[in-house]
Amino acid sequence: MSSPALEIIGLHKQFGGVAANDGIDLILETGEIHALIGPNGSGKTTLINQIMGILTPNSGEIHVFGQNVAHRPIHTRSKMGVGRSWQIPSVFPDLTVAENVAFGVRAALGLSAGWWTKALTEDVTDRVDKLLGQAGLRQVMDAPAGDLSHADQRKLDVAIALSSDPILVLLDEPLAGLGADETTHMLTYIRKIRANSTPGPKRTIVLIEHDMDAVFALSDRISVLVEGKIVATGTPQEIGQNPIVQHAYLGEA
Amino acid sequence: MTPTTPASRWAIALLIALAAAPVFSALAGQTFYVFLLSKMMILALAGVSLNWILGYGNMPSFGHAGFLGIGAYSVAIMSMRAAEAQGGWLATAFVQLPIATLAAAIAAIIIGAVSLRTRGVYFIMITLAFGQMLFSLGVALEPLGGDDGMTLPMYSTLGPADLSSGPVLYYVVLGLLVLALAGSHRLMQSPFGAVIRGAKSNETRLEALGVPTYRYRLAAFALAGAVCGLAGALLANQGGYVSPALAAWTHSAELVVIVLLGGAGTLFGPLFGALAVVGLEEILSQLTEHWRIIFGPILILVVLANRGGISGLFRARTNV
Repeated sequence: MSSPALEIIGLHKQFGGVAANDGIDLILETGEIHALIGPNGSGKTTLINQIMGILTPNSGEIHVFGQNVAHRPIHTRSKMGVGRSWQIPSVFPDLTVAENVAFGVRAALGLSAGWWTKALTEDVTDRVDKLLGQAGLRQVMDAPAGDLSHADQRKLDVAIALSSDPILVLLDEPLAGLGADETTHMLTYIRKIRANSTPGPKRTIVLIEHDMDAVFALSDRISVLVEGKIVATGTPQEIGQNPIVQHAYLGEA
Repeated sequence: MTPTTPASRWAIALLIALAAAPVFSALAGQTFYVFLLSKMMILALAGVSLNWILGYGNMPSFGHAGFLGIGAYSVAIMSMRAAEAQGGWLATAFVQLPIATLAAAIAAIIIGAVSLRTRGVYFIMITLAFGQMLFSLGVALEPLGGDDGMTLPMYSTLGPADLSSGPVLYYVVLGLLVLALAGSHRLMQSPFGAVIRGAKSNETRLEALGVPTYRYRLAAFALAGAVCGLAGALLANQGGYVSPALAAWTHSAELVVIVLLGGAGTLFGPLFGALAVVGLEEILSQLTEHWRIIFGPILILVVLANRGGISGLFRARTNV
């Protein structure tokens, strides 16, 4: 039997008097792109912070490929095959672009960070090169990440998320702040991510995004969060026609 | 920073000049400068170690001189025992320097294990507190002179010579400093160094990539403490004297100034910083006993005008 890529049961996260996640249940099948939509403050980022181990839930369970990870520290996630991008691009500004993705590559190869070898050894550079090629960043690989444009930092942020070769990828607003051309590029990139160039199953993707055209174009299923609760889950078509969703989020149009 | 930047060319020229300096000072009959430059290089060595955590890793320790104290007192204790036995293996530098280094490393593991659970201003306060604890320990050690400290009964021996000789100490210090700088370069370009530099700006992301940063930061803290202990052992021999003041917070602050003034997170910054601090202190204190009144504003101006310190000045000038 195969466990779902991600199963969330009765997840509850309280910030003071506010329930940011108020009893969330969610199941993701392997290989699906599942979008989380909802107004600002509805608890989307809180949810993926808990999947990632950055926040610990007050109650509830998070199963990644069958294992409950809710109370394990952040650094265990990458070994379980979980990677994420950040809403505000989260790169290592003082390090080169290549060094930025090398951490995850080394972790995926099971290498610990030695004292005396070069940071970019041959087995690492192969993967680094491939990752940066896929992201369209190969020509800036030796530049400090802090010098990149916003769009390139966004691409790098996603490339870092992929560097540890995750099979469950959490993308937090990967299109925010991108222009039209860059958005098209990123959509292609996300589809490539799911297809997974490395041998292995299709990747499962949780996508938080406010660009509704992109969400409806990319997603297999969509869940709508409102005030910490999932009010609807379904295919893009079902969600588009759901009256609760139209009222709460998409506007009455 | 690779050895081709303007700052590194200056630094290598400086190291070559340092290698030749004792010859010229002997010819000129000015042996005092050998003594002074030895002190400068020992502080540079301590600065190199602090730079790993403060500069590259953003762990602003304000108790780093505590490790100088541990290294120096380790030498003092061993030299007392050796003097009672009139020499023997415990007197040699080959035993004393490694033991002093190891003692500081052990202390750094304990202090780091606690301190690294905090961040920012709390980290500053807790390392400051540990430093002051070591200072108080020195004051409480009555058999070693308590508050007043003590004169070394004998210096670390090195074959037929010992480290009381100015030129011998000088070249031992210079050799160790060059080794530390080469090691610093290699270490910071290694995967380990990348983790330390990465954790400086974005620790959460590193954790999310499967890197348990605490372990690596602790290893860096321990290594920095160890090398600072080595500097302390050399400093005891340089002055022929140990006292709790070595571990005092003012001394920790001096090390922080050396790193910031020279350029935090640059390979040769601590070397420039130590040269500037020891040199300015020497020059200004001849002008007035209130030399800090002049030194303070100079420090503020350099750090405010150029956050890259002296290393940054080289870069800024060549960019124009």
